[in-house]
Amino acid sequence: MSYKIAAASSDHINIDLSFGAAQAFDIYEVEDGRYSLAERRIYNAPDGCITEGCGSLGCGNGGAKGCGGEGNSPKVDMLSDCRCIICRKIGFNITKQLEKKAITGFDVDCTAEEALEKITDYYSRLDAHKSLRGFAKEDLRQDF
Amino acid sequence: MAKLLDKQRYKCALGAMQTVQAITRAIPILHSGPGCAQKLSDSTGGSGYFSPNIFPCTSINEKDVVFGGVKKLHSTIDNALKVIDADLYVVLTGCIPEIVGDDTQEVVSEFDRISQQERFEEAGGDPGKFVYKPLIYASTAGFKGNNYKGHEQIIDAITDQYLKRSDDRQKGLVNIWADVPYQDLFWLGNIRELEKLLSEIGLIPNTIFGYNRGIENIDKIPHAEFNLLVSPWVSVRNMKKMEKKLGIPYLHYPTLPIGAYETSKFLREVGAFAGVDEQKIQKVIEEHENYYYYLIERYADLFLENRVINKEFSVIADAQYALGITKFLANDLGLIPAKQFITDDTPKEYQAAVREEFKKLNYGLQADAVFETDSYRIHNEIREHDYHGYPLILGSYYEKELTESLKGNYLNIAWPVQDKVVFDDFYAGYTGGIRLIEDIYTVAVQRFN
Amino acid sequence: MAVNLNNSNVATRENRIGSITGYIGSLSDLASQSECGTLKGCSRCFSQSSTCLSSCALGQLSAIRDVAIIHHGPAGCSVLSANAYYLDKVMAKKRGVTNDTVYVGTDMNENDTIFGSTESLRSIIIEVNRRYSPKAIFVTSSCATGIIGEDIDSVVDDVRDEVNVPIAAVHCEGFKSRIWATGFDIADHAVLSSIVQPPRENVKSNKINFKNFYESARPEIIEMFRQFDLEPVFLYCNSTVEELSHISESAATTCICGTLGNYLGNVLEEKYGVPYVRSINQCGITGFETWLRSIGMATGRSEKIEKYIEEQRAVYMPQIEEVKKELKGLRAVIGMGPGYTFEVSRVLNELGIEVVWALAWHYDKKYENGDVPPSMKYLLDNDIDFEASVADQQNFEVMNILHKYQPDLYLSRHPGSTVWAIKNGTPAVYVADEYMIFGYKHTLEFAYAILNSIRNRSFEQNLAKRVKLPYTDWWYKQDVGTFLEEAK
Repeated sequence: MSYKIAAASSDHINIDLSFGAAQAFDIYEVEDGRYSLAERRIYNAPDGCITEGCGSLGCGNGGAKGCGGEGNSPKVDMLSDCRCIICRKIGFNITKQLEKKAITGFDVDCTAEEALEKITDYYSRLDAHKSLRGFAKEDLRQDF
Repeated sequence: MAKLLDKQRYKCALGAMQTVQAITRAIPILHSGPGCAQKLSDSTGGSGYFSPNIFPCTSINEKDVVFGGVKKLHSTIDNALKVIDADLYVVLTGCIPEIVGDDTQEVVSEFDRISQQERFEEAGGDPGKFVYKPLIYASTAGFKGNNYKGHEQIIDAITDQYLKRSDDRQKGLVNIWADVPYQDLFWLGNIRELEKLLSEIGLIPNTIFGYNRGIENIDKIPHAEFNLLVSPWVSVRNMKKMEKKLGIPYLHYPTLPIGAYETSKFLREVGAFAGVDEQKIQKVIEEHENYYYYLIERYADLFLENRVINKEFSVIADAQYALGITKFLANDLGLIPAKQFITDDTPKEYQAAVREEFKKLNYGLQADAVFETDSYRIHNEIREHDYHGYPLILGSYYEKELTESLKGNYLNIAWPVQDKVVFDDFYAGYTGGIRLIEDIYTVAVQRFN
Repeated sequence: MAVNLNNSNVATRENRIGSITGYIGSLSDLASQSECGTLKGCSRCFSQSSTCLSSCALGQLSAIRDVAIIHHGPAGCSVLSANAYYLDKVMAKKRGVTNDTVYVGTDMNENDTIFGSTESLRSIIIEVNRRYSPKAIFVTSSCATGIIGEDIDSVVDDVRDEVNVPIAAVHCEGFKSRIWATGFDIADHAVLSSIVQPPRENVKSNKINFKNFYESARPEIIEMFRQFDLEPVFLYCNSTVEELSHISESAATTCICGTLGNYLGNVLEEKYGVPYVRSINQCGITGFETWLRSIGMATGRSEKIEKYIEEQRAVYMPQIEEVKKELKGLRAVIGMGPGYTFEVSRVLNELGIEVVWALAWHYDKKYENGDVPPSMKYLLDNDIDFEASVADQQNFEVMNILHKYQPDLYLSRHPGSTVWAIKNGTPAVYVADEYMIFGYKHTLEFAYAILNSIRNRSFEQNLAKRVKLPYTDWWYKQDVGTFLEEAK
C-alpha cells in the first residue's frame, strides 16, 4: 500500500514548525513501508485570509462566513491527498478538519526521520493487523 | 486463552487501584487509558479522601501509542506529587504501555531517585524539613490477571520496593492480611473484627487498610513477629515473599472465621502459633460463645419454625466467602451444603488445597466445590439441582432473578452487589456470624411460606 | 456531513466536529472564537482520570432489549457488564417488560496479547448466539485488542451468515479519543449500520424518535405527545430491535441532550429524510417552549402545541414566579457535559441565579451541520456571560475554582463530582436524571431542589468541618490553567 505523509520542517531535518506557521510542507511518499521525499509543497494564502494567529490556524477568518467556507482551511485542502501530517503543534480545529478527510495529525518534537520511521512502522502494522507489541521500546532512550 | 466470561464476578488486575485506595492517604497514579479508573471503581462508597475520579492518569491517546507515553508519565508523576497531598504514590500500568513496552519501572525508579534528591536539596539538605514521598510501581495490565492477582501485585510492590528487613521485632506484633478491599464488600468491617479478636487474646494487630491505618502501619510491617493470612489463597504469594525478603514467618489460616465454631478454632490456632497461654484464649472464647448462644437461644424458634429456610444451600462467591459461609452454615447452623461455586478464577496451584477445605465439615459432611467463572454453567447447575425445598442462595446480584424464578431465598454477599449497602458491616468473627444470620432471616421473614 | 455506514469505524468526535477538552476564558470569548473557528484545544501535562468512550457506547447498546454485547478484551473492560445487567433488570421491571440482554467479556490474558485470539472470539460469538438467541449481536474491541491488531471486522464478517441476526463490529479502543462522548456516536453508528432498515413503502407514521438515557419521564411524555397526535419511540433504554429497525419511518427525531442524539438525528435526516429537531433543549421554560415549537414546525402541529403551552403556563408560571423570589441573587458554579452546561446556565438565569463559572467537560465547537450549539447561541443573544472553562472532568480544577469563588451552589451532572464540592462546604445539586429540569413541572421541582439544598446546609457543613481536602496548598495558590499547554 502506498500513501503520502506531509511534514512541517524548515530544514528538511527537524519537525520544527507548527501547522499554522508552516508555509510549505515536505511531502514524503511511502511505498511498502519505505519513505522518500517526493516534493516540497508551497502554501499560497488566498487573498483576504489572515495568515497569523486565528487565521494561521486555518479558519480562514470567520469560518463558515469567510473565505475558508464551512471552516475549511485551504492549507488542509492542499494536503488532502496525505494520510497524515506531522507538525510541531496542531490546533484542534485543524486536527478536526484533517480527520474529516481521514488524515491524522501528529504533533511531535523530534526529527523528521524519527517521526517517519515510527509512523510508517505504525501504519504498516496497523494495515497488516499486526501487533504493536514492543513498539515503544526504543522511545525510552530518546525521551530522556 | 480468551474465554466466554458470562456474568463476570471480578475485574482486571488494574482493579488493584482499589487496594491502593483502601490504604489511607495512598494514591494510585494510572498509566492507562482515561476511563479505566471510572470503570473499575464501584458506584457507591468511592468518595473517600481520594476518589477514582481524581486519580492522576496519563490518559493514553493515539499519539502516545506511536511516539511512546513515557514523557507524559513523567510529567503526570511530577505534577501528582505537587498537586496531591498523599503519603504513598503507586504507579499502576494498564494494558497499552505494557504491550507497547513503555518501561514504566525504569521511569519510576529513575524519577524516584532524582526527585527525592531534588526535594532533599530544596529542603536545604535538612532531614527535618524534607518530606519523603514514597513512589512505587506495580505492573497491573488488565490482561495479566484479575483484581485478586492485582491486589497481590500491590502487596508485592510494597514489599519489594518500600519495605526493608529489620531485626528489631516487637513482641506480639502481628500483621493481618485478608481478602481484597472493595471486591470484598465487608473488607473494612472484617479486618477490624479480626484485629479486635487478636487484641483480645493479647496480641498487637497491625493492618494497613482503612481508617486510621496507612503508611505508619506499612512501616511497622517488618517489625512484626509473624504474618497472619486469613484467606484461602489470595496473598499466599505475598507471605512467601515477605518470609524470604523480610524474614517474617507466616500462619496461613485459609478460612474466614464466621460464627462461633470457626472463630473459636481460629483463636486457638492463632494463639498456639503465637504462644499465647491456652487458658487466656479459653476465657476469651467462653465469653464470646456465651453471648453468642444467648442470642441464638432467643432466636432458635425462628430457625426451627419458619417455613421458608430450607436446609440446603449454595454459595456462589470467591473462595473466601464460598468457604467461610459454607463452614458457618454447616458447622454453626446445621445446614447441608449443596454444590458450592468458586468464581474468583482461583489459580490452578491452589485449587486442590481449597477443595480439601470444603471436605472438613462436621459429621463427616463434604461439600462439593467447583471452580467456575462461566455463570451460564453455574446457573444451569443450580436450576438442575434438587434442593428438596426452597433453595437458599448466597451469591452476587446475578443470582437474584435466578433465585426468584426458583422461589428460593437469596442474599447478595458477593460482587457485584446491588442489593445491599455496607459501610463497615462484617461477617467475620462471632458478631459477624450473628450479622449474617440477621441478613438471611431478614430475607426469610419477608415471606410467609 | 458525509456518513459512511459501511465502515465500522466512526471518526472520533474530537476530530469529526472539533471538540475541545481544555480551555479557559469567558463564555462570549469561547463562543466568538468558535464562530471564527479559532478555538484552541489544549493538551495537558497533568490530568486526572475521566471516562472511557466504551462506557458511553456500550451503556447505550446494552440498554436495548434482548441483544448480546461481546466485549473482546481483559476483564476490566467488560466490567461494565455488571452494571448493565443491573440497569437492564431494574429498568425493564419498572416498565413492566423483560430484558434478556447479555453482556459478556472474553477475559483476554497475556497469551492472547502475544498470539492473538480471534479464533476464540469467533467461537465465543457462536456460543453466545447458541445460548441466548439474541436479536442482534454487537462485538466490540478494547484498547488491548486494538493495540495487538485483532481484526474484529473480519471475525464479524466471517460469522455473519452463521449467526443469522444483525451483527456489528463496534470499535471501542479507548485511546483513540479523549472525548468520551464519541461513544454515543459509536453506538448510533452500530445501530444505524446493522439494525435500522430503510422505510417501508406507504408507511405513514405519527411516531417521533426520542433519544434519552433512562426514560424516567416516559409516562408524562407519552401523555403530552398524545395531545399532539404524536407517539414517542424512546431510544435506546428498553428499545427492541424490531422498533429500532423502523426508526427511519418516524415523523421526526428529537433528543434530551444534543451530545447524545446528534449523530443519530443527523444520519436519519440525511439518509432517510427524517427531520431532526435541533433546538435548545427542554430544560427550563424557554427551552421547553422553543423545543415544542420546533417539533410543531417539523411535524406540522404548531396549533396544538401553542394550545398546550398556554394551558401549562397558566398552571405553572405563577408557582415558578413564587419560588424565584427566594432564589434571587444566588451564585452558582456548574460542571457538566457541553450540552447541559449551557442549557442549565440558561435555566439558572431564568430562575434569577447568577452563574459565576461554568465548566464544560468538553465542548463541541460546531455541530455536525456546522452550526454553533443553539444553547450557546441563546446565551449570547441574551447577553448572558460568565467565566467558562473546558475541563474534561478535571476535579483539581473544579476545586480550585470553588475555593476561589465560594459560590452558594455547585451543580454537577457526573457521578463522583458533587462530593468534592460539599467537602469544600459548597451545597451541591446533582443534576443526574435527564428529566430533572424537563418542562414546566420539573423546572419547578428543580427550583425547589435548589432552594432545599441551600436552606439546610447541615450535611455539607458537618462534613466540610471534619475532612481535609487532598490537594496541596501549593495547588490552591496556582492559576487554574496551570496545566494547560496552549496548542499553537
